[in-house]
Amino acid sequence: MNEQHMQVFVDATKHYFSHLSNKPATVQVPYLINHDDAVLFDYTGIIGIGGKYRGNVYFTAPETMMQYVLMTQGEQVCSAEFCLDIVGEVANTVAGNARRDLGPEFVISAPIKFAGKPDKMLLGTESRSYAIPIQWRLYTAAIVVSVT
Amino acid sequence: MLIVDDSNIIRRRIERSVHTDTVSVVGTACNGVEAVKMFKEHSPDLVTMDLTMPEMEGNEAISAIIAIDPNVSILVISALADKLTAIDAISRGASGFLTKPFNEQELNEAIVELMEFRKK
Repeated sequence: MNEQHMQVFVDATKHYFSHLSNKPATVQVPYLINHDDAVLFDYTGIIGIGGKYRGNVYFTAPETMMQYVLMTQGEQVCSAEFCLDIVGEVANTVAGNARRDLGPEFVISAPIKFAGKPDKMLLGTESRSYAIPIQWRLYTAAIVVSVT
Repeated sequence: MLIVDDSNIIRRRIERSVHTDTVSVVGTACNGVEAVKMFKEHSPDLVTMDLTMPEMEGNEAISAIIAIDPNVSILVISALADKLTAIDAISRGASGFLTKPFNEQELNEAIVELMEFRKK
């Protein structure tokens, strides 16, 4: 992944949140993270990447942010089940929108969603991983790109 | 209409957002297999179809549904934003393509457009 590739995910993330409300997200400078330093909030949606690329992309966010996203979409139920659903949908939308620039060879899986910390490390061992911090309203979340 | 998406949130959102007089929701499905089964049961005029789903993906479900009823209108609603994906869906028989994220107005305009086209 080079700088241009990272920009694709930054743009896709900004696009998602600007479409959601009139408050655009602020994306901070991406930074390199080690395999053992996975960035994780309360809920995480992870997309496996195949085709010409290998690895994964995940979106991770605190529960309060996911509840706010649900309410913004007119949802009155903000259960843990729905938070898991929407975190997967954000990850899917950001990764899917990235195909506009990366093309159909950027093959994405259906999202795998979880709360808390997984038993196994998420990051691919063969690729460098970048965390992209996202600020939206009062909340901080992150997109982590681990793709080679 | 039949709503097909693996996200319950998206299915509920589409159902809440449809405000046209000519359309009512007859059912929802969370993957392609369930979509084909429900299509056979309800024979809706319109299907909204996600593409990236477990068990059977949307493009396969489009082909299966078109084989049952070539006149059905299928609106693909997907995050996959590249042109080739849209072309593939249309070549399989889909009638329209709406990229996620979408808003209520975009959804209703797309549905009205498909239903108007269907009348002609």
